[in-house]
Amino acid sequence: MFETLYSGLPDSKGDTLPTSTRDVERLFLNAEVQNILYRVTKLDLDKVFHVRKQHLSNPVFKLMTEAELKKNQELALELAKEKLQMPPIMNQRKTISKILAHDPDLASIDMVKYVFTDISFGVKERDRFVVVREPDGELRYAGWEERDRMMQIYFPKEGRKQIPPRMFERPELLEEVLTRQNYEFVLDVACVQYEPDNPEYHRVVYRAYAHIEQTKSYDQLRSSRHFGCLTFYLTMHKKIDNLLVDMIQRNYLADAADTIRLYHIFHPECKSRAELHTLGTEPQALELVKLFAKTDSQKQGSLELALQSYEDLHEATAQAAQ
Amino acid sequence: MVVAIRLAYYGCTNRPFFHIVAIQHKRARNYQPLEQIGTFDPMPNANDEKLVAVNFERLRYWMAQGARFSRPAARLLGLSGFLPVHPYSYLAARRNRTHLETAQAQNNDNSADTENDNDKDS
Repeated sequence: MFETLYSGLPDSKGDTLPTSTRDVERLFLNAEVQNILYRVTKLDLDKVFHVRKQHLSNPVFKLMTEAELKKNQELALELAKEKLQMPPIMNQRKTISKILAHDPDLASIDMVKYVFTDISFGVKERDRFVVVREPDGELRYAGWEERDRMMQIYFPKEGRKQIPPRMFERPELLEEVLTRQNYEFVLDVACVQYEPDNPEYHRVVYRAYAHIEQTKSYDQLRSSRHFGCLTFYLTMHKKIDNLLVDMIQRNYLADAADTIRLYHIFHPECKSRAELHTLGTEPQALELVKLFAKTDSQKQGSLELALQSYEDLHEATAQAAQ
Repeated sequence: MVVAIRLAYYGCTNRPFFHIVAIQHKRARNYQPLEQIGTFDPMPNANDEKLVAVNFERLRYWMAQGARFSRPAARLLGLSGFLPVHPYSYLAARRNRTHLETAQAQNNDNSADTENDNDKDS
């Protein structure tokens, strides 16, 4: 409905995604992409349910049979999957610029604007009417910033602040937090504060991902809801080399292969995809990574070195087993 | 008895606030209404906005029940675009514009006078 109500500027340029004309949303919602991102995130119950500050209460002890215990463990697994739900990657929202009425006879009705919000029950947030009567008599739809503020006033979301945290308003403060490498904290706060198609959200989150790429601290986000989005971003920008090295060093070769498959989906014109047929029908993970290192890698040296160490280690263990 | 849609004055000293209510028209101003269907904050916020929230769905229901608007409520909803703009709004706007023009003209006269005085001094 809203698509017809507003027309506006095209997606802004800048440090969003290089292929901004491509539909990022559709790519993100692709079933295979979702599967890959879920596998790569690696559900680890200990990390998902890590100890955190909670409201004090007495511990609860339950006596269960084996069957009940198993059932509860399955429920815990389902809850963990819910917690790992990725915040969606969307295109930046287009500015709203629709005018409902020009009323020059109403000019100077007041010195300030009037903002009218519809608080009817059961209307979706995106479909709610928020209109503004300007002092010069013009009646228009409210812009996105005005909408966000009104929605937070009348339908507040838990954790969202009326005034955004200062680290989002001033870039130097964000840099300070990123230097401390509190990545999960920043990304969680951004996820709560902003809608996923808010340009501010994109700015903050992409800056965090770029910083993670610089410091190579991918493991902090592993088994959190942000790892999938991080992988998506890096693969889009063709910056997966450090990530692959990290995965190989931790013996996550299947994840490395998955990331390369993601790369093939995003960049179907790449060289490694063209040469995929040389590996046969069911390529081994190690061979896939080697092919990628040969063709499309931008850090061929370090990637091949990591592969070499991995092979040596596995040869050594195989020999030791014999 | 007729239902009225009008503003009920709440808030405290030096801080007015209005509820938009549907209420039996003979009741006291702040009597318990049939339904509160919105709010109006007459004091501009930090972004120079006066905030009005209206439950338009319930407003339509009460209109269907034959509710009558008070003049301030009708003017407010006229500004929102839900009702046609009230004639008093047009009059008030025109009055404000005239006041602004005379104030502007007076300012210009004053500045012209001070300029003339300065010339005389020098």
